[in-house]
Amino acid sequence: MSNHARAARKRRCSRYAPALLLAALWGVVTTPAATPPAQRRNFIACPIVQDTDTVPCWLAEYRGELYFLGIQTDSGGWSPPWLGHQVLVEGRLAGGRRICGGIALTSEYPAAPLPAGSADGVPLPNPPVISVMRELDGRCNTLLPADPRFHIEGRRGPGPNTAASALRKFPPLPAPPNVTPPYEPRTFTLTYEFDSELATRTITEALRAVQYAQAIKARQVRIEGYRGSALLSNGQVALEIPQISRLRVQELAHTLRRLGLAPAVAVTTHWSTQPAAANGVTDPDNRRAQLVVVP
Amino acid sequence: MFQSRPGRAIAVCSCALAAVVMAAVAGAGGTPDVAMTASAPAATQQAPASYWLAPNSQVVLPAQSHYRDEAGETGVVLAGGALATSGHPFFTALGTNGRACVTCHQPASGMGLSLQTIRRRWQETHGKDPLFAAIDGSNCPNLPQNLASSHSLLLQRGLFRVALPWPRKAGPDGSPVDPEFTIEVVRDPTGCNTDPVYGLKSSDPHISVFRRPRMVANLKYVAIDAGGQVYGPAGPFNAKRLAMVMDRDPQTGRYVTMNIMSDARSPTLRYQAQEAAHDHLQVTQPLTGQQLEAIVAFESQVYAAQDRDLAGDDFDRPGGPAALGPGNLAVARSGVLGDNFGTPVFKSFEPWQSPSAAGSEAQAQFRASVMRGYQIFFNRPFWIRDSAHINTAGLGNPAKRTCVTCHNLQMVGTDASAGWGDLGTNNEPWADEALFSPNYAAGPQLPLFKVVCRKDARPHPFLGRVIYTHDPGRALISGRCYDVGSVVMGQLRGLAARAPYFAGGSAEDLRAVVDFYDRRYNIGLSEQERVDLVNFLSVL
Repeated sequence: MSNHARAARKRRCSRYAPALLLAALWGVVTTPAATPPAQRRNFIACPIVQDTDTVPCWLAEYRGELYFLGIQTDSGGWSPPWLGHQVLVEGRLAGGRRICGGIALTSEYPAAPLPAGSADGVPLPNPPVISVMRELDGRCNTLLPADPRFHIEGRRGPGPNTAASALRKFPPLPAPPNVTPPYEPRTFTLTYEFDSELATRTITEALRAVQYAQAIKARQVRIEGYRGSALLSNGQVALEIPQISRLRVQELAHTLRRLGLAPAVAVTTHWSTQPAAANGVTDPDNRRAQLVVVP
Repeated sequence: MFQSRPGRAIAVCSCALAAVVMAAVAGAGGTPDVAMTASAPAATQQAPASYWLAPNSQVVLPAQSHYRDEAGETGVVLAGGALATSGHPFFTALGTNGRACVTCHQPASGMGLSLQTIRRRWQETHGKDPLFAAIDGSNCPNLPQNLASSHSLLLQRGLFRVALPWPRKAGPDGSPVDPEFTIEVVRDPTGCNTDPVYGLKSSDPHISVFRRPRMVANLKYVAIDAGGQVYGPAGPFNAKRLAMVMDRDPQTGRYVTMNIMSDARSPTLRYQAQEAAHDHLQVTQPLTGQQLEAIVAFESQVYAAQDRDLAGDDFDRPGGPAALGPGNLAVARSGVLGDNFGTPVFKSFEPWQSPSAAGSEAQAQFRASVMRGYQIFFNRPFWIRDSAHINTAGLGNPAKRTCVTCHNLQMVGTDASAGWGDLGTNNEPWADEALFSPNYAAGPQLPLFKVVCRKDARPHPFLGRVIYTHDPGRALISGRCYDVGSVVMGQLRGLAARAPYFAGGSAEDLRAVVDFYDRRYNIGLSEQERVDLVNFLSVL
């Protein structure tokens, strides 16, 4: 265990109830499988809030080491974890200095349109993929007081935004496509957080699908839902809940109609409860649904 | 009589001001002065305005009118100029119970309805006013209506019964709703939820929840028309990371903001008026298109806010703080995000910064207190925690933020996003009645429900799958477990005229509001800070 992690644990134990991390969750297969590449850090743990003089950092402890996940930003940026829930972390070592006492993790999956900020003047890495676990876990309740050693400069501080309007930073919504015959089937993919049926980051793909269906006067939209899994660094495989693929499909069917997909367009639904194979690297891609728009 | 005075450059029909006719206005006395909690200056000696405008009154509402309230005066501005109420559907009893829209949206109550007004009407009419109609002005229609105890929630907390079908089968647009939870009645002080005719197990099952009427003013900030797209960055999607498509105007197909009602069940003012006419006025026929248009037109041009403090300072006077007073509300732009320093939510109080600009030492002290309160409201971070649709909307749990994180829409302090959230005003443990309002009548008054969510449903993010609540709120419309207890926040304007606060009337005064937030989020406000916040809220 590193000094940082040891110190953090000591502080937590002295000030708050212990937050021991147990991986014995519903949906975790305990049979060891292959492990992810060495640089990967995929684990399920309680998140830890480390306050600073500015915005708080988010950390998590795995095998006695403390990892830095990201900082509080704004509602248009990276979405931090929630105390009261465990979090699935899927990332790799970012290199560089510790941030807020934790080893920085990153990922290939962009989490926000703009960088979140800097630590000691160094830009923060793109954060790892995180998924707030679905069920409550009262053990996840660690909030560490502000530590003067940590100098975080957030793009968005704890108070009102320094920019005139944060809304301007959002990417524009997709424009209706300009397509000409012959029309081809087109697939739109939505990805999800682990165990979630809410496509919080990719829901605009549903809008694109409806726009395309309207543009080509589609006959059918086929919705396909998939169940993912995540290969953890300890060799275990975390499986999404069996009904998640169905829930994703049902949500999308509802969404398509509310977006204006005409009743004349047939919507067919298909889902698989068979979890996708996990490799510990591209597992976030398997938590998905597809909208296939058929001319 | 209404009080009128010249004001800013708003459309004013001056001839109408002289033609105010008050033949049918009941009552002449104003609300009694109530001492402020801090260094508020002495009260003015102006005559109080009428506290009650009865249905079918044949009067002319002046373009500007003023009504005594606990913190000075509330002002009401009609941007379209003075209005004759005779025959106007907002002011006319259209149904069978003698009520009009104005019954529950009184100018003297900031276009809402204060508990003080309710109690006074009871006393003056011995409970015969249509305000106390059995359908929703009593705890349950089957109770003996001549007894005050049958109207206890209205008389003690300003709450009207809202009966909603349960289980709900469809949303406002007809799209199917498949509720994710069951509801069990744990406690039923009113008897209505277990009643064989009106209850949850009746042949026409309804759930009775009890809510405050919302203010019908400043609605260009609430029902924002953004030209066919929902206001904000998420287009047709709810900006709170719900991957949820917003409701549409059934008439035009345009997306709406979903901020009108506390449970967001009415997509438009027109829809709301039709529904309210049925539910509260007990009309036998739907309102006509002409009636609806007249109601919506009136509601879209009425502005209400505090416009004087106890020293009589006119907030709408040119050169004053640009967000105060109903006149400023009438002319300001809507749809402006105020959670930033460029366009702060209640603009600038700079005109009040110089003590020499005040008329007295007491007024200077009061203004200084208000400005300190605004600074706390705008700038002081605290840990916002375990609040569904706030912490879950991308901020993380907890989030170190300020009041304006949620109260972010410039001029009115609502949420620019579809604003429902669970701050604990409905759900246990935070909504415990004894904790919330210790000065209210002892003992539980509200129904208590046990909500049990299906195993495959996404649970409430911070309360799980078993939730005890006084009002499931938005979840009664959406059917979603994660919405249980969530309500759309109301405007922070005209507050002094329309206590009590929160959708369930659980905060009897502004101090109770501040104390609730301090307890809920462990802010650690000092006594002086609480007084400053109360004073700040009182001038809005």
